[in-house]
Amino acid sequence: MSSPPAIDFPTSDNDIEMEDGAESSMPGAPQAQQPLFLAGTPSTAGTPARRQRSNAPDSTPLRGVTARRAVGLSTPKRTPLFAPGSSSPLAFPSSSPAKTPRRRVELPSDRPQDSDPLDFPSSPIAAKTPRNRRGDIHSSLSLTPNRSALRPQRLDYNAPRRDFNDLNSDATHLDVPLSSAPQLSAPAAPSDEPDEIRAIWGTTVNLAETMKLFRDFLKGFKPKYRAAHDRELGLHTRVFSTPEEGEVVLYETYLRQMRQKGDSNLNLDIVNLLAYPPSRKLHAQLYKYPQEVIPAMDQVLKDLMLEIADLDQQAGMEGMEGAEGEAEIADIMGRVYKVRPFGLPAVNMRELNPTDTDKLVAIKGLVIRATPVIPDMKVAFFRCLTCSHTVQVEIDRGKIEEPARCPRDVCASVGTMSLVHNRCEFADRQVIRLQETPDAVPDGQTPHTVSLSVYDELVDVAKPGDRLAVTGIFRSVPVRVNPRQRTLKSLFKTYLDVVHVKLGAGGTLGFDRSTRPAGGDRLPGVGDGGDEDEESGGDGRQTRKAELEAKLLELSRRPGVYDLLARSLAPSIWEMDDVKKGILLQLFGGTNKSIARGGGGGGPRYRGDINVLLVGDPGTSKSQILQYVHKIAPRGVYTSGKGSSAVGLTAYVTRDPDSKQLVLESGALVLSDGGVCCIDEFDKMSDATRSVLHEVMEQQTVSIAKAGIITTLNARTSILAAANPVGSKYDVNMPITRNIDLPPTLISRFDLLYLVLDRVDEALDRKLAQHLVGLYLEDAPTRASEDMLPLHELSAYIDYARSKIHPVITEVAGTELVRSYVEMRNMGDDPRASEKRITATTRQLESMIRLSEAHARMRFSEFVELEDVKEAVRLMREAIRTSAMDPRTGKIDMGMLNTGTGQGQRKLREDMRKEVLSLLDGAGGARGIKWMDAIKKLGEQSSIKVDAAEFTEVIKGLENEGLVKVVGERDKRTIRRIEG
Amino acid sequence: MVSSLLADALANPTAVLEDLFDPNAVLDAFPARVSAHFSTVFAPRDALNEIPPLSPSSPPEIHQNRALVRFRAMIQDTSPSPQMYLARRKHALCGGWGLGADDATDRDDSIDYADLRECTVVWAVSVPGESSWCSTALDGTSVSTGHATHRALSPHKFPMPDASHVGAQIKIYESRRTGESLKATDLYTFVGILTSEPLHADLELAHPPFVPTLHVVFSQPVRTTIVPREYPLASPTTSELRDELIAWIADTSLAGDRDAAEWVLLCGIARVQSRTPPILPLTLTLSRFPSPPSKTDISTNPTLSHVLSLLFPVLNILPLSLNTLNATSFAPESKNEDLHSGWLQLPSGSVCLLTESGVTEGKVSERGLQNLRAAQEMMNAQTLEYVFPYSRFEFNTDVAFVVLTEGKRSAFFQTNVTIPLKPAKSAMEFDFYRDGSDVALPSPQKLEMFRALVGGAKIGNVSIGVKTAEFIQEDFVKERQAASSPSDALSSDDLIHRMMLARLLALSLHETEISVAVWEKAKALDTRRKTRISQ
Repeated sequence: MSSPPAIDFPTSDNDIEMEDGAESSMPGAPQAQQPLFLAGTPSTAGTPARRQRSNAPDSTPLRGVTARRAVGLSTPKRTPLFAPGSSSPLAFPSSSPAKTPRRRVELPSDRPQDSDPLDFPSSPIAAKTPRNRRGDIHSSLSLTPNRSALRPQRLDYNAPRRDFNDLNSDATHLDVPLSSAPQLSAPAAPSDEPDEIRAIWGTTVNLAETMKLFRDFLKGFKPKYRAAHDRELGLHTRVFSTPEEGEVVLYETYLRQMRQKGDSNLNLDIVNLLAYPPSRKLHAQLYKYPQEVIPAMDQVLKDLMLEIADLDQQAGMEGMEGAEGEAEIADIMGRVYKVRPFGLPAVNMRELNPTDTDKLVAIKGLVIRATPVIPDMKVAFFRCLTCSHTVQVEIDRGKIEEPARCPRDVCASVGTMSLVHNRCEFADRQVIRLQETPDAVPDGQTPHTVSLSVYDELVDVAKPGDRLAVTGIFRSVPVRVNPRQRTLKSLFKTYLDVVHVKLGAGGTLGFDRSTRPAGGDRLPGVGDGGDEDEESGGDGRQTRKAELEAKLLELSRRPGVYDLLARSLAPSIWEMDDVKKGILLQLFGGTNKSIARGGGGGGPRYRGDINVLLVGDPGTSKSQILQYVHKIAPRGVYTSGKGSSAVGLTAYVTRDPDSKQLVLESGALVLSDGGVCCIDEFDKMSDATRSVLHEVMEQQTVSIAKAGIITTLNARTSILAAANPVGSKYDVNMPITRNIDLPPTLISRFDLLYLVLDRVDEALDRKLAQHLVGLYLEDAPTRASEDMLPLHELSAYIDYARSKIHPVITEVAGTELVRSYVEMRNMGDDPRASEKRITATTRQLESMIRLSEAHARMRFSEFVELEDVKEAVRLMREAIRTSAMDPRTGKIDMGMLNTGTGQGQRKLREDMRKEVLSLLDGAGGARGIKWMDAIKKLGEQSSIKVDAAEFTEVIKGLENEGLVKVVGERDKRTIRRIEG
Repeated sequence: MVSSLLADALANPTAVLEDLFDPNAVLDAFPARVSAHFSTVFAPRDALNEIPPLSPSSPPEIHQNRALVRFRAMIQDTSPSPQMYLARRKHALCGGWGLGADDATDRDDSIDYADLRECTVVWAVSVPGESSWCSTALDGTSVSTGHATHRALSPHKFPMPDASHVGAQIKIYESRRTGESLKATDLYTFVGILTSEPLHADLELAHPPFVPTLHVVFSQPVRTTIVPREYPLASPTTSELRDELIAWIADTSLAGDRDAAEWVLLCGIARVQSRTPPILPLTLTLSRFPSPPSKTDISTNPTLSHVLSLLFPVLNILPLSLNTLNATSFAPESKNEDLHSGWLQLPSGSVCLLTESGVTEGKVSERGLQNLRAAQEMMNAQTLEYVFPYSRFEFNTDVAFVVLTEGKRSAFFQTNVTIPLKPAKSAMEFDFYRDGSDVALPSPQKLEMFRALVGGAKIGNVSIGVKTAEFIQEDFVKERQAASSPSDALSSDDLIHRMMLARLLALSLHETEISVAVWEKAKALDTRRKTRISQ
């Protein structure tokens, strides 16, 4: 240590001193600079305040330094780490904790020392000297091997450091090419020692070897191994953009990330262990003996963290130079590093059985309850009442052995050991009840529930209602008869000590990430692999999924897929092919479009959802169609307009029984966000509820103002509604708006409106009867012979198309759309008519676009082509022909649907108005004409029957114009002409 | 030899169990051995009846601890987690079946985790709505009535609140196979050792309440008819017997209205034929059914309910009132991880009689609406949604519904068929609410024949010949042609209902094939009903 002073050291010392002074005055000012360069840059030496400012927000290492300084640790100049009095790696464990009590809990458990700041003689029982203070793993393994294994290693590891330090001081700021030789000698050290062979009790697993294997894995694993492994299993693999990408030493990158983020958790995908040939053995060991192997891995992780930090310091990496690097390293030493394995194929929770006890398992489920945070004793501290001898006892299998007598031979008094609460160590713990999800429960069974214990960083990650995939150690512990007794029952309770949690494990009900506060419940740890797919769960599952995908793709290439799908939609319903096709396209849906630029978070959105209304005679299986769709559609919701209150259709605010917090419980429409909402008896729905639908169908949101919460929820829902005509039967002589009791504004929001009429036709009737008799009276229904997709396959097909296919309109298709629209509009052009009928509006154009997109989706095509548009136009025409035809003129008139009055009707009213006025002017005069007489007289003049309702409308119009006045009530009404 | 085994098993099942146990044999095979042994012992006819029953009339209290009992029960809740037990205790003793649960192992004793095994835990209750004649037939006449009526510890686990029942925790050691196949509302006869233990879920409480617990040695599924029945009946006089039966129902409970009685009978024997396509039981509303004379006593059940319970093995009455709607729940709901039962958690093959006479004016709460929707959904689709936190689970049901209402149609429900009651005599003279004991019974032999007819019809199957099928098709076309206006024409739904009716009619006649005669009869019945409605 007699090297000449380095030129930059004084400046950095100055820095530190000034920083101390500035510390209180400038706390945490935000400014993102490159702080780490500043330390060694003389020019910034004069601006200490600035330096402090730039460091404060994100640099834990520096804060570590200041904190240490705050408690009186002097940082000696020039030899920041290894000078006597500072925490050298050897002396560190015992000396540092005493001086920084704040950090005591985080201290590495595996230190070869008794971290006993007070001067009590301490003798840990059962030779379990080092404690593993991970909450989730109460290792029964004595970790003593680490002690000796570490000591030489630490020494080895220090040796090159010292050398390097010297080097560094000799030629500061020379870019010394790092020779990796001294570094590589370090890891080899522990395994070389023959006396270190320790095995996990009852097995042949050599722990030292395990540690070495894991070490090699962390240092050697590259993404290319995983890719090769996946390929072997026939899985879809991601293509590396460059060959180098596959050559990255993945875990070293992760370890650096951890240091930079100050994270102490490494999420380890154990499939990677399997993929890296040398570490395959480790996979099985980890699965069988997690209790022992995970702490060993933690140890390796920490060693490697230090090693890499050291390496980086030598390499002069940003932020790792000089004092900062030292602080960083000291910080790493002070942490507990945890390996969090995941990636086991999830099993059903009812398949957990006694043979899984103490093994690593993965399950999925729904959080139904979570307790508040419980302090969980990890290490108990006992003191003998007679001789003040102290003992620390670690938790084992969820219980703490209270020493019966004082372990000191001199004292050995019985029953004098008493617990000192504030000297015990606690961890955060939370108990979660996880319930099976509906898809995992066998038919006809009620769901099971298991308890999960989560610790430390994982506490409060999951909230009730979340879907989780957890990896943990399965435990079964005897139940105590009575907490005050020492006896146990031969009954056992089971739970999982969780090591890894993954939120929202796939499925159709995955939560919306946008509903969570940004970063509010970020899972701890690095290495989950943001670059990995969500679906990288279990191997088995993935292959099955790939199989299904292949099957669906094959299906989509079949020539008659459109008809096949339509036929499978509602097999028991006879005929109605176009209705089925329309509904099928509704299930696929168009693509949602939004204009990327513009104010308010991306401008307006254009809905891609297709709404369908079925109107028809009772007894025409409308309800059955709805039931089928409800079962097939993703997030299908079925409600009857009659029974559903406005509450059931919207959302309401309630108080959560557990947390006493107000929670928003969504109702039918919101729940089916992204799904299909089937509403039967649409016409029976109350006006209040229906008004909600206006918003849902056009804006695709639901607004709620209840209990002080005012909010707008997304309800991107397609609506399939069924309505009955006003009378018991549909009157074909009346326009549709008179047949259904729905406001035209609502009707016009449906893309497709189908009339399902019951017509008497001998041939059709016979076929229908044949179909029904076969279906209802024969034991083996005949439909089996027909080519049909089972329900779940149809559902999977639709699901796949909706999530994967987003078709774009081609130019040809665009032209065809325009042409069809113009043609449709021109249908109303009648040279003889003075007034123009409206046969199509932009709404119809939008509908056509959506339908053709849906049709392309149905074909699994990324492009909307000519055939898609043709089919969409055909469906539209079919629907319009039945629904928008004016029964009096026999012509199509969209005005009827859009405004409720067709062009023919308007003309009729105009004629009637003239007649009424002439009638009043002529005969009645000022005395007026009785209501009934007026109708009768008009009827005599006219060739068609005068409709009472139409007449009322006309009179109302005249009244508004101030031309007539109606006196009297009901039958005694008289119409008078107002003069002037 | 066998009889001594039987006596042993009855007298001291625990000893038999311990004798069977071989500490050196494979542990996993033991539960199957136990089951095989006990089921062989009780295989002979009537041997099962030797085992004392566990039922509301012989509640757990009258049995000794660790006695062998049989429990005919409905699975109410399969959500309790499986339980671990030590299959081999200290000194190589037999574990499980409640053995060793009480011996307090000192916690210093090491536990061999390899000896841990798992047993399935479910909650079961005595069959809700089981008719007393079924219990008498299977359990013999009830034991002395000296005991106070049994009060179950968990009343919320039974569909009918406040009804007397027995509920027990069932532990099944033959885990994987038997345990996994148990479904909610399934009926089983469990034979096992009765003890009293804390609820599995409450183990961690300081003073957990003790509940009756049955450690099953073997179990048998119970048929939907409870008592075994056959179809078709061998008797040549089925048709006459059926007429007598209808006459009896009509005369005792429906003021002589035979058509109504026939409809009630037909809808009572209806069951789920197939789920895809849905061929579900016809639901019936009996309208114009008089209310009880005094509004004060709305809890009075109509005579019809007594008569039906004399015929059908399982009959449940759901007395609709604002209170039952708003304050009780129809669908089971999981609260605090305990599945509370609901009125509609009923076993397959049961008949549910909904009476609307107790309904008064007032507000139906949100819960009431949900209840109504659950009942309507069950009528429409024969599925019932159980409510769990953050999720709902749909369960298939198979329950026939008959709604009694005073009005022209049910105030709450839509049923497939509505028939107004048309008393033959004046309702003034006829008491629709007579007590069960006042019902004029036919001779016991006759009654037993009635029951055999009804029970057989519930499980029978009928087919249709090509000729009849063609006839039905032709009939439909002709009738549509003959309709004076489109609105009067027969709809496809009408045809479907008529065919379902024909099938039920054939079943009630114990015929194996639907004939043209049956079809005509069904048509006539339906036509008479329609004319009644239009009157």
